[in-house]
Amino acid sequence: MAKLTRQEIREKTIKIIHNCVPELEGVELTEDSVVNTDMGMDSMNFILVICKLEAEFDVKIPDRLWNKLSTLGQVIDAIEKYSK
Amino acid sequence: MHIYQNFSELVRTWEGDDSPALIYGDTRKSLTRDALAKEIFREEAAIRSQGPGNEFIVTDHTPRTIIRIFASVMAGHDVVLADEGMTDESLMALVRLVRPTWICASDEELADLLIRTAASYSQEAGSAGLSLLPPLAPWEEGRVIFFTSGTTAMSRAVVLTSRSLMASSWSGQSMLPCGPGDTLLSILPLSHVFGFVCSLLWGLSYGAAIALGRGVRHMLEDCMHFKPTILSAVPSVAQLLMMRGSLNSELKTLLVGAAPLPEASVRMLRQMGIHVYLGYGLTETSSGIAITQDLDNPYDLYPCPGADIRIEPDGEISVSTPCLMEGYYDFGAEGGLTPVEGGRFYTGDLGLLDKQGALHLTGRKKDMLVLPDGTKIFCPEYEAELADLLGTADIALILKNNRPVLAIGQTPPAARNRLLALIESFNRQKARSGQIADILVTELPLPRTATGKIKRWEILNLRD
Repeated sequence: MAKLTRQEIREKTIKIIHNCVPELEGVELTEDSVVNTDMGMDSMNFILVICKLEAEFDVKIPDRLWNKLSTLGQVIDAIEKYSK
Repeated sequence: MHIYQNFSELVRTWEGDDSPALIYGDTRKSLTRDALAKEIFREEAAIRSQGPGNEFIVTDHTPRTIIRIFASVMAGHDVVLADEGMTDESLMALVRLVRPTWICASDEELADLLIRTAASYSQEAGSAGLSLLPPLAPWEEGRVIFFTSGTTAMSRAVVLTSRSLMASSWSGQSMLPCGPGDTLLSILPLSHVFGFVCSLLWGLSYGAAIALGRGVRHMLEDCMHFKPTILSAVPSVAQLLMMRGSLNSELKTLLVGAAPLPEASVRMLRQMGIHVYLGYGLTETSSGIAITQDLDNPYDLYPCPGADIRIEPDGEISVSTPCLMEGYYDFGAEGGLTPVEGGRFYTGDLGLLDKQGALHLTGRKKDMLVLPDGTKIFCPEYEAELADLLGTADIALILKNNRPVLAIGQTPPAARNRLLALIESFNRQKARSGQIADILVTELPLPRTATGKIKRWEILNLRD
């Protein structure tokens, strides 16, 4: 499978966040948006989102790093870094 | 039913016992009580040979970490438990504060980072580490130090003993028995006393097998994977597992702590055939001091044996219990241990005892604002009313310069005037002394604990 561009990862990630957290539907998300326990996303939703992202992009982000992901940009960085 | 005096007495009873103690991993490997005891004794001997000291353990759900906690305490080391979910910066700050002799973390990269942090002690000042704890006699077990969640003040270090933790396990067992044949799924952080006692020690003490959760990634699958009969959880996790259909059919008992579970959730879980128990306790009391029974009213809390619960004249709940902490520990150079005066702990929670002796929680004492003229405002009531009016639940009432001020989170500055107009209409319905004097608007969410409780003291540092 061809390596996804950052923009493609961003678009897919935003779509997954919107699917998992209906409260965020219609909210514009940028790479600076704080997505962990912010903007209506509680820690449980964040866990769901990361699980979905790992499955979607076939990556495994180390457990220890989950709490360090704060902005959408950091989430995309982690997906890029741990992509197989 | 036996009350174990300390970890050593408990672990000795496991020798020759082939029942499963720990179940873990993708293949559900099993470690018998006998094998666990042997591992703990081996580790204890190794720790003793290194001499006295104290230990900083970053907890996770691996047999190695559990063995290390038991062995260190039994070897007479004071042990500070920290959560693997904390950021590196927070863990490093804790290490600087604690100044441990040894550091234990399963993640090698993290262990290396913390050891390097510890190596810089000589250049650090301001913390006495654990050196101000009263010395232990050679036969005594080490103390276990937990940090409070910090709802109304900075997080505090609570000094517990293996004796108080074992007493807590016993009182839990008296109210909600578990035994051989039960599997207790452990997914709560072991660095929190509710997780340590109610998802580990309680089951290990009275015959249940402990299934060790495989981490956040598998949280939704672990019930189906391990098929527990008992689960201890905080409300948000319990609700998530319920709503996602992640609870297994073998699950018969759900113990919920840290915050109340909404009645609708209790009802749904009962319809699924799960008995729901809600616990009330504090880090300072080594976990639960009262627990609900599986009765019509799911919020009637019945005191655990040995817990002498009283309601003070101002409505505050106080308790005397064998599970009480030794005291708070202040890591400052002039600090040390502050013992509990008179053996009675004032919880800061408000409540009442009904005619049947059941305890009912009504709020936090620090949720009450007392104005200079003596007017008392019970914040949760005001906040519920204001949340409806403003259309946001991210609000908190605080006292600033002796005046009630409403903090509103996740709101753009442009909304300020609209909100002020709404507050004005709210104030018109209130006596002058109880009116809101000002608002503090921030785009950030208001600071909360992991269980969603507002951290009022932190709001004072926010800027409009």
